[in-house]
Amino acid sequence: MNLDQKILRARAKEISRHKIKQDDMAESLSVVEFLLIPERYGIESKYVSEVLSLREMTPIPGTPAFVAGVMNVRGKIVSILNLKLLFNLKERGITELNKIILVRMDRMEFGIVTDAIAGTLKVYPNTLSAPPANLHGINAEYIQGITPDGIILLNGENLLTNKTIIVNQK
Amino acid sequence: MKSTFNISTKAKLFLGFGLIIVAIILLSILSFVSFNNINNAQTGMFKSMQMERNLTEFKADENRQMLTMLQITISKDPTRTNELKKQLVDKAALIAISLSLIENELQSYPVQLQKFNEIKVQLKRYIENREKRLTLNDAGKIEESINMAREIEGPLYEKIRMMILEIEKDFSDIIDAEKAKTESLTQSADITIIIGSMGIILLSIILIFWMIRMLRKISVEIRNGVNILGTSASEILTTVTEVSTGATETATAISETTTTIEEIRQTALMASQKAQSVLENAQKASDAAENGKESVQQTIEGMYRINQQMNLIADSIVKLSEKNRSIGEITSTVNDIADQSNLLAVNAAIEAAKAGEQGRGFAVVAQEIRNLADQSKQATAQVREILNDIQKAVNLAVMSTEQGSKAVENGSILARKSGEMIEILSDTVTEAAQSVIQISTSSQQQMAGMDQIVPAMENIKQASEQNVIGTKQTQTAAHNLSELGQNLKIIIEKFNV
Repeated sequence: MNLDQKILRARAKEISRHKIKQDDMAESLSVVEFLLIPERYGIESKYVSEVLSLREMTPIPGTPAFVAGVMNVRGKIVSILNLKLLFNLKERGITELNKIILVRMDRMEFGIVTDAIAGTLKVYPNTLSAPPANLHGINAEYIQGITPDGIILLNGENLLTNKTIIVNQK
Repeated sequence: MKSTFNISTKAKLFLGFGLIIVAIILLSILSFVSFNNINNAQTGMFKSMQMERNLTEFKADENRQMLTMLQITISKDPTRTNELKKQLVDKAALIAISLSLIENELQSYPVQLQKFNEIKVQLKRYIENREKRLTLNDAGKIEESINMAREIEGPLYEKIRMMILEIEKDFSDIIDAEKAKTESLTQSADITIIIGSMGIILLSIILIFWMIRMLRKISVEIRNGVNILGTSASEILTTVTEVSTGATETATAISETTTTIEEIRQTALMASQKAQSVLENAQKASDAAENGKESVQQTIEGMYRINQQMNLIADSIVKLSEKNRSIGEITSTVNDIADQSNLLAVNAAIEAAKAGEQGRGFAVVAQEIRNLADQSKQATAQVREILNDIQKAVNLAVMSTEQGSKAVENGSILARKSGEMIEILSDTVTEAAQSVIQISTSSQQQMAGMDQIVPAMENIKQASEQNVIGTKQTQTAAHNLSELGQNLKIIIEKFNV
């Protein structure tokens, strides 16, 4: 049994999480965690302008499938994207329970449909690990990395500057 | 021949015996008459003798009177004289009485009566004389008295005496005549009787011979009759024996019938009793059915009440449910608020992050808000859990109520069915009771009939027994008759004429 115990102990060490000092503020990112069932995603809060619940979304015909519709946010018309369709995840339908994260960078602003907002957390970039190759069919360019907690951190810049999301009405 | 024989015989019999009887009667009358005559003669004789005696007595009395007169005449004693006078007077009275008697007797002898009247006259004179003498005696003239006696009284008396003697003689003659008459009468009577007797004897002898002849004829007829009697008696005996046997068989059959009837009666009685008990049971069942109906009714009412309660419960549950829903809505609202708070907190956190160092305090506040929001959410989650539990319980209660309702419904239906069943049962029992009543009545009638049959059977039995006795008696009688016939035969043979 001694050998087994040793092996197990080694594995435990590998798997166990390392305690990170919370005082280390220099390299922390503020990330908004949200759920796209079944996975947990995150996006840097610098890209997030607001978080709100979904209400009165108007679907627009003639738009790509990942465009869920538009929403009136305090007088402003914002388009809402369904990342699930973008990431080829299983679509379970959009209800009032879904939360919208308004992401903005420069002049590009849209909302993304989430199943739930988990909250904000600090993520240290040095703890991020690379995404595996076969992660649910999502393009690797949108993923920044995976936190030790298993949260898929999205690359907000890539997401916001991607040309595919721009709908050309012409 | 027979009839004429009969009439002839009757007439002859009557004639013969009649003659004899007539003869006897005549003889009797004759004898009677003769005897009567003799008696009369005797009576006459006795009367005459009596007359003689009376006269003699009168004579003696007068003698006595004379003596007394003499005594008076010679008596010196006044006392004695009075005594003697009294004697005289008394005797005179007696003599007067006897004279009157004699006069009465002489009424039938007119000749003698005349003579007697004369005597009376003389006697009167004699008595007058005596009276005179008495006065003389009283006056003391004894000598004159004696003279009167010697000259008047004596001869007078002598005259009287002579006349009396005459009468006496007359009567003596009468007596003799009577005697002679009696003798002749007696003689004639004797002759008549003898002749009559002899006639009667002759008649009797003729009659006897004729009767013997008749009896012989009769005996022959009787013998024939007896023979026929004998045969008939035998035949009767045979028939009667057969009848007797038949009657005995009848009696046996009747006995058996009586026994059977008794059994039937017993059965009828049992049936009647059973019917009675069934009736009682039917009555009990009917009562039970009534009770059952009542119970069913009460059950139905109870069910109804339960239903009402169920409805009340359902209402309460509905209200509860509504309240639950209200709570749910409120918690939902609270949840929304929590959500919103959460979003708000996240937004705040984002803003705080954007603000950098200045936003740290704000980040803390945002965190606290988030915590609060989380607590709210947890609380609402708990409340929701509880609400869920309540809802489940309410659902269970509703289900139970529904089941209860169904059960009540079923129970009601069952109760109603029970009621109907009981109704049917009750009707059946009533019908059965009526049938039983009919059975009982018919059974009673049966028994009444049996009661009538039994005495009738008794009568038949008695009649049959009497019949048997009667036939036995007839048998005995026939037997006796037969014997009688035999005896008659023997007697006839003995009576050989």
